[in-house]
Amino acid sequence: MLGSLILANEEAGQAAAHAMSFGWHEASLLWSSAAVIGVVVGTAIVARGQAGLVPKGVAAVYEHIFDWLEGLAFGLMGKQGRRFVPLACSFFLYILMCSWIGLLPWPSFHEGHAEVAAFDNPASSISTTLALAMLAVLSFNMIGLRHALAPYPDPDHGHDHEHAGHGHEHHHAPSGVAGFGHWVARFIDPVPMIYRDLGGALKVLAIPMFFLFLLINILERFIPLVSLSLRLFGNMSAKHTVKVSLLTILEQLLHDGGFFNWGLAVIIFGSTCFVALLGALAGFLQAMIFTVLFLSYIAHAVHTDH
Amino acid sequence: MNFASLAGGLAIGLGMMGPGIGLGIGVGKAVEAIGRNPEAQPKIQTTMLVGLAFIEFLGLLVFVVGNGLAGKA
Repeated sequence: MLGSLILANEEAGQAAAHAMSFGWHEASLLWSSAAVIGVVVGTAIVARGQAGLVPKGVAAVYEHIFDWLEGLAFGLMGKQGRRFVPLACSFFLYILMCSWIGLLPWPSFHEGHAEVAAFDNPASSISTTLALAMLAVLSFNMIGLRHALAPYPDPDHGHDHEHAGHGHEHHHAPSGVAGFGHWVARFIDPVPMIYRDLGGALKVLAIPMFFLFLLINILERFIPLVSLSLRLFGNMSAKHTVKVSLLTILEQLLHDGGFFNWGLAVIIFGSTCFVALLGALAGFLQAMIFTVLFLSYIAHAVHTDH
Repeated sequence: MNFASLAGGLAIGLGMMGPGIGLGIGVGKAVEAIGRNPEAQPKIQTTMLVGLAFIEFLGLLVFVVGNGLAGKA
């Protein structure tokens, strides 16, 4: 009985794995994710030893990336943004390494179709990107709530220098219960104002608006789950799809042989390399876009000038 | 006869036209703005990238749908 139970369990597991798979290889995916985590954490540990007044080696590279992201965060929400740079930086490094580790693989041909062996780009699977998006959405929602309950200190407050952020008219952001009230009130954002401006019998219109804007405001906080994950997945897997179809053509050409086919094969191989290089650039850009969007969602969550 | 592959190819080809034009306009305007006011370059660049990401998302929807159609053949 136990045996049959285990067997049934195994079957269910296989079915689940099949249902989850988007046509790529789960084992290679796990392996590559582990490699990415190893690279990021390993270099971070190395960088810790090299940090100092004059950083060298890996630490210098990391410091450069951190400075750059800090500049982006300052542009979006002022000096307050510094607090969120480490989190954004981890997202950036993880996604960047995901796409760059996908450059390592060498094509392996087996059973009539090309496959990418060794390392795969973990971000070309929706599981990875959805996990990243869930983490991001959870983070900026929690940051928004935390900011409402106990506002983060604003270093820009009181200084009269120019900054890109907005919402600094408020000198004392509400905290505690009042802050929570503000946070809840933001879910029906423009309705109180519209209610005030509408005259007489038209005030009835505020009732349908209440529900409409409640829905819109709730959706606004969770739509990034779809857009962040699908954007990353689409970009990474598009690259993957193009590479695999080029390699399939290459395999067919090599199989058929002949002078003309060999010539074509060289061209196809060249374009595969070109796509891979373009992919390296796209991977960097996607990592940056994910990070910038994440920071801008945080900026939206922590600005309370209503 | 199954037209799914053709439909997928056409969907990607036609569907990517709009986002392509949109991205072109976006980048063009951003370059123009940087040309006018080079000091604002970092701010313009960040805003541009965020905007491009939203336009590109439409193209990716096309890609996902087209890929699904092409796979049906």
